[in-house]
Amino acid sequence: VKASNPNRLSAGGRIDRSRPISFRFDRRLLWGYEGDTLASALLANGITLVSRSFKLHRPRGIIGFGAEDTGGLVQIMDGPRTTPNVRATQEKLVEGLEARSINCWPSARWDVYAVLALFSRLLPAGFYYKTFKWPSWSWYEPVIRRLAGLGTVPRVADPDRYERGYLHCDVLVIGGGRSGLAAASKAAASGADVLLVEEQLLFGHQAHLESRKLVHELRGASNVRLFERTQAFGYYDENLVALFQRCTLGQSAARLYLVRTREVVLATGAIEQPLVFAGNDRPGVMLASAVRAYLDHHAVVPGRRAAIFTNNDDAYQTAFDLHAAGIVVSAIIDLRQEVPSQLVSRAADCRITLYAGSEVIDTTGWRAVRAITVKRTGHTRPLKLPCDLLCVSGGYAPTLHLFSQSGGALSYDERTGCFLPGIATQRVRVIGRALGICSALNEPALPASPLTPWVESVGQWSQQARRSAFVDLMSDVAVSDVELAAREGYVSVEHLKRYTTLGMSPDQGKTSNLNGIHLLGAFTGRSPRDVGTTKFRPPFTPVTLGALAGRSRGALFSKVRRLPTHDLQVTSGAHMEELSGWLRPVRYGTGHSESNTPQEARHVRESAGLMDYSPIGKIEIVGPDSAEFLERIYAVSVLSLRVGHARYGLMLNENGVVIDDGILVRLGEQRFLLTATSGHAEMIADWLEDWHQSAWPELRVILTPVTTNFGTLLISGPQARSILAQLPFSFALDGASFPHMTVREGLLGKVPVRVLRTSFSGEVSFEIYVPWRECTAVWSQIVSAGAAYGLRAFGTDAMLMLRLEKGYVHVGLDTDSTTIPDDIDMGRLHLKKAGPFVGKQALARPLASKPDRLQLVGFEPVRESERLHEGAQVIRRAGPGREGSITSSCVSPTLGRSIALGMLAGGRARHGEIVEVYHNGTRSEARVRAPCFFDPTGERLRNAS
Amino acid sequence: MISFQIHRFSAGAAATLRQALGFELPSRPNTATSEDGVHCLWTTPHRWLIDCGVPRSQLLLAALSAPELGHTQTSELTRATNCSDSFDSFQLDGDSAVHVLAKGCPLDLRCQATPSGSALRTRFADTAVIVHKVSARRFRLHTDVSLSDYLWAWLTDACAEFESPELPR
Repeated sequence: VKASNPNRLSAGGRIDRSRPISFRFDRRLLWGYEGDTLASALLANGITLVSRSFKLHRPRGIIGFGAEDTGGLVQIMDGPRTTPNVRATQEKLVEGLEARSINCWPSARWDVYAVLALFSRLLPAGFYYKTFKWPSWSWYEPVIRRLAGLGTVPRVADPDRYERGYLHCDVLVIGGGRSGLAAASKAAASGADVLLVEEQLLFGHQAHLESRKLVHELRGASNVRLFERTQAFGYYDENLVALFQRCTLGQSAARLYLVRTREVVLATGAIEQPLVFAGNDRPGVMLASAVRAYLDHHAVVPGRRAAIFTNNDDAYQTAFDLHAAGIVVSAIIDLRQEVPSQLVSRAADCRITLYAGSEVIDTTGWRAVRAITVKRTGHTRPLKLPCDLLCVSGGYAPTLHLFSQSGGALSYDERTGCFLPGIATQRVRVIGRALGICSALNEPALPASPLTPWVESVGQWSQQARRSAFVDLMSDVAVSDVELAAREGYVSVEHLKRYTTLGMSPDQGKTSNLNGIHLLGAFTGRSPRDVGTTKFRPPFTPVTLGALAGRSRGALFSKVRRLPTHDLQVTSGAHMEELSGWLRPVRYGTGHSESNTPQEARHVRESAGLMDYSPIGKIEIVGPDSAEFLERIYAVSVLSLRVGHARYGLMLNENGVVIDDGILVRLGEQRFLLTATSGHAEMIADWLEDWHQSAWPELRVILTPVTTNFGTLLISGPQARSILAQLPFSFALDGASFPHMTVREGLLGKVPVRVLRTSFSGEVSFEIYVPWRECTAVWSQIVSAGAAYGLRAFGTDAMLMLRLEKGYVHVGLDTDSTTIPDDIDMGRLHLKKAGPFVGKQALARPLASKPDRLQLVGFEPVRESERLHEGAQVIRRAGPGREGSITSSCVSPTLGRSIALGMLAGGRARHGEIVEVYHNGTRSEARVRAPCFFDPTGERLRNAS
Repeated sequence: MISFQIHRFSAGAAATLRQALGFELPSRPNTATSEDGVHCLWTTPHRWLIDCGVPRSQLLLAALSAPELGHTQTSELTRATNCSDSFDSFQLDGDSAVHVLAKGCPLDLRCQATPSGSALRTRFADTAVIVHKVSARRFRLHTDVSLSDYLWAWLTDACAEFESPELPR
């Protein structure tokens, strides 16, 4: 190996020394081995300073071994693949990996913002809320935004592929430690379909022969799936668990699975809790269990001279392991007065000095620990001990994040001094150390001793000590912050979390919650049981956005419906946009073609335009009672509609509110076709089915949604009839035999067609219904027939302008969820109707006839040069408030001036009045008028022959 | 593809369809019966979908009598609609078909939960589809014609990784 690993032992560990791997950290070329994580490789190279803390930019190093670590957050650099906030402990070391420290500039070693730490006294919990409120938060925001945030977001599209999918199993075991393996094995033996997930690279965390044997067996079983490097990060209702898998094989970088399982087994283990003391955030202070794991897995010892600070037996094992590896262990400092005699004698055998009833009260060193200060029992003078690695242990707390997310209650246990699983609300079992029990003799008890005695001593600490003793290392929450929160009345644990940010962001309470809860209890005179714990929320560890998005990007970003003539539209220069789920031509022409729209609209008025109108909703209703059924649905009379005729109708809900409009066509005595707005097609079909099945099942009708059985081609304009007359229709098209609002069924050549005369543009129009797969051919046929008449395609934008000139209401745009028929001047349609229909009773309510209801009117600007904007508000001239709004607006292509539709209080009686309109800080005046701006008598439809 | 609807369930209406098909109808919800490449899918208590080729569907439509007129054959109100135009169908064959579908469908399509002969109306890749499990290695997916370009792109992209030997299980 070209470069040495100063902290790597020459033997041991589960690494492959024959396969060195080069990587870079903060541009430095470093070496590790196959089997390393980024964290173990950094430690092996003697890198103790990895990142900076969030608020004060204090130096941070790796403290843990897995998901609990917050000091080793890095940015993985890989061009566009850059990933922020990666835990070095969870990142597998691969050749060429490049990582950067985060939250610092220019580097973690030399960080300009470290100057913030000098002002830490001025930056206590809640300083944001107190300091940046005058004169306005917006003054400070730009600077703070630049300082805040961990890591940097990639600026270009992620080239990686991410998969998302669903999985099903009988038993999902989360955690591949000894308990998890045993549970998986037992479940597999019973024949269940088992999925076992483990966040680390390898199963069987503690590397026991027995575990390895189990893993081997499970890999061979056909009903067991084992996922490594997979984090269960969210637990939702109905036993739905979200998994995030980092991939090493295949084409994708990561996978996100949503697992639905009959039963969940949580073998999530326990996380060692740090001890809180002055200077406990200095790099070089690590969790005792993590030090042991690095030694065991990677043959890495991140120091030359170690000391142990503990309140339990477990950390002694770290001391003995380090000693066995040839590392000097200068002292074990135990908070307890009484230490089990076998540990005392074993420490003596290893020539390790044991200070019982003592505590570490400070550490010194610039960027890393150089020495610790120990307060010994029976001595007044503190002792200063040189060391570069301090292994701390405050005992273990069960990892119950997922259990809490599942809805399970956590209850405080006096004996162990931590929270244990209480009543579960889903089919979930907690086993092993997550339950607070040890599964094997050599596994540590949980936690070895309650934290209470330690917490009681906090009251005697100096202010300086309280400010430099950190509870949440990444968020810089010190003992003094918890104290301040308690003093200011934030005594609820949830308030403490939000006020101080304790347990937020990277930590998610893994190493800070238990200490924080004990401290808050101490400062408010309560037991941790009374303080309680926060409810944990997903994700357990961060999940990259790419995995959440999966393949929903680019062309697959969201589903979109295509017209039957889609390809034709694209080749003829249509600018396609998504409108209520359909990709439709909004206009034609290349480049910046918005200016083409008025031209397209004028062309329809002067000659003729063609449009693929297929998205319009179509529903067929057949049966002897179909007229009766529709009579009860529509606010217009249906029984009087003659065969071959069509009628405009409104559909209301039970509140009398207009939910949709469309054309109702009577094809036969017992056959109807009704149209619905394209965005409502499915909703209306379901709504009708609902009324039929639940209200009137006795009516003999069958409803068939046929929106995509037939495409609809719309031809509109004074030349429309002449153009269609060129085509071989089996029926006459002249105005006398085929008047407005009638329908014909027949053939176009050999193609069965229905043609409906209706109009949304105010011009003579034909809606031609042909089988979906015939649309392209018929479109081409019409286009060739229309060439001599100047027929052109027109887009939806032009259509909306044409209908606005006519003052035709656009349900959902001009109307809202309060609009009743009379508001859009269609009250008389139903007033004549004697029988019942949906919404009728609601229209009799006094509210429905209030004179100041919002009513549809037209608006035009008083000064011709001004424009009325959609969304503009009509404001009262007398008194505060608004009295209406502009709902549709355009510069009329036919009239050449700004016109608009809108809703105005009592508007129908106010035609001619001048009102004040407000839009984006400017006021203008508008004249109220009738909604129809063009051909108000409808002559163009009637007189056309 | 033919949709056969009834106003309410009756033996007579079911017999009309059975007679035209020449084989038994699916007796339970969310199941299908098949014979000679013709599949009859239960979709709602009032509707079956007959999945067959164009020539056969012409014959069936004739047998179920002039559908365009909503003609009734039994005393019960029935309706056969030719919906070949409004459906597109995809067929997935192979051991990995179930894994491809699991990327977009929240239902458990493995054999334990969904036996062959199941026909499920569900959500797939954010669209409404009917998943017909013909056999453990064969699925037929029926979707609205307007969505088929999207779904085809989605499916071919989803299949991409199964071309390589490193199959995730």
